[in-house]
Amino acid sequence: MQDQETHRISKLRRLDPKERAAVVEELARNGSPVLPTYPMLIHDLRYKELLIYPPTSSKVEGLSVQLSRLHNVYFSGLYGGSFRGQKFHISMDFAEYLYLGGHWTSVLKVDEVDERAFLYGRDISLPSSALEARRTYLVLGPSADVLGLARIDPKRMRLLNLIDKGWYLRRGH
Amino acid sequence: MANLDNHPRPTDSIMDIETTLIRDFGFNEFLARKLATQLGSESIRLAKAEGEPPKKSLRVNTLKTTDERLLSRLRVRGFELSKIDWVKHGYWIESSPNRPSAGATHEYLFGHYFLQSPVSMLIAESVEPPAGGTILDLAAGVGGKSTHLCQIMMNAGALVAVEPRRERVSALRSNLSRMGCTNAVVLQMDGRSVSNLGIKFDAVLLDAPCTATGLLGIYPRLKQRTTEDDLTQLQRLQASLLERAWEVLAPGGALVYSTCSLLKDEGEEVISRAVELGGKTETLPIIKAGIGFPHVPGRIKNSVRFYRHLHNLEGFFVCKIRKPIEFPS
Repeated sequence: MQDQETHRISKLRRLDPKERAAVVEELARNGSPVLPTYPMLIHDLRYKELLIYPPTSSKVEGLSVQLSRLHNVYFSGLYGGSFRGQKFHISMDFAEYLYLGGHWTSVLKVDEVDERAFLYGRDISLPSSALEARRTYLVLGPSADVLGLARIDPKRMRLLNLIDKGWYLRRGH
Repeated sequence: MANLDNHPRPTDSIMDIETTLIRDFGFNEFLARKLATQLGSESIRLAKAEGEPPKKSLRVNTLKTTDERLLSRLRVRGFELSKIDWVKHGYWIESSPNRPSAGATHEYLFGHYFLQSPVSMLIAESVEPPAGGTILDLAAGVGGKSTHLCQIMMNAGALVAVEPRRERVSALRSNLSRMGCTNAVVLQMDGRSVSNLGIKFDAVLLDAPCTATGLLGIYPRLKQRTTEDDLTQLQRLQASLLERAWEVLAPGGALVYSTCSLLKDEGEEVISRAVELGGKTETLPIIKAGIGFPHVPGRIKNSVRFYRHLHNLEGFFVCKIRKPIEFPS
């Protein structure tokens, strides 16, 4: 049955200069120096979400803006990431999208054992010492599948799991 | 176990059939009467076939992989698949290992496939979204058909997916993300308000909320739980959603209406209202030329029905209607 309609409306809007700079900074730190030319919007919730509209889906941007004026757009396009304060944190989907387009170079590959552990949400040992602590790494499995995002913990010499695709299962869908 | 020797023969009365459905298969009186009246002694065969969950199947997500690549990877994991030749990227899961289950492989997490019934795949294919068009999925649920539509559209154009329930909208978003869909707009709203959007859609899919009596093999409790009140309320909702869907459909566009219900109250009866609404409305065959699939014709021209006992598929009703080009707005 139709129930529990949420009436909270959050308009989608363009990025302001500070937000744009934060996105550029995050991309630059991870080997993606050019801000993509495709449209991006901010979804103001309790936190701010970045939504991306790749070239094939450009029609969705205009439609989303139009609909968000009066209706509750829950989500549209590709989830780009979120802002905490002024800092932008890229999403797994956006990093994967950039990687597949050749625009994301912070990548590391793990073996089969670590792949399984990582997809269970676990931190894993560092596969290489030549990694930079300030970067966000896209973690790939042995068959080059994107597993998730990770950061380096230089003190513990561990790869910290930020998000992984096992989340789709763990959240129960 | 039911003893079929005691079951009514085709000549037996509706009352005998009803009694058998209640006594041997655990139906409540209301549903037993409905099925016995609608299907006669066929309802006994149906009830017997629904004693087990249906065979599992999956759809390869070509936004993320190819049929060949996925088949090869799943074979290594111990899955045996066979092609369903009447849907484009559908496969039966003939056998699977104890672990991982089909819903927990790495390939599943990577969005390489969606576990889905072949009829659901056929329904999404029947929409035949025009290139670059704006499509509406008016009761998107968790996104089985929405993600399929994005796949068919190759992430071009726009799909507006409407779902009122918070937990389902959340699952819908998660599935769109997992499957690599980027051309969807998800609206959390009651589909009956869709005409307020101010948009005309090139095609509409209404897989309407229903009693789900076509899924008794999966949800056997529905045999006891389905009530007349449920049916009345759902039929009202279906009719209302259909009217709204019809309003927002652009002239010349097509609407696909489906329910996973065995009851004609939720299929033929609801769709006949739209046919009345439309004046020169035309129902369209949902079969693409040259591709046959197991079904029985519905009572409305070009509509189709699927039954577990006849087709080993979940029970569904599907009908496609075109809105006349000269439709008065």
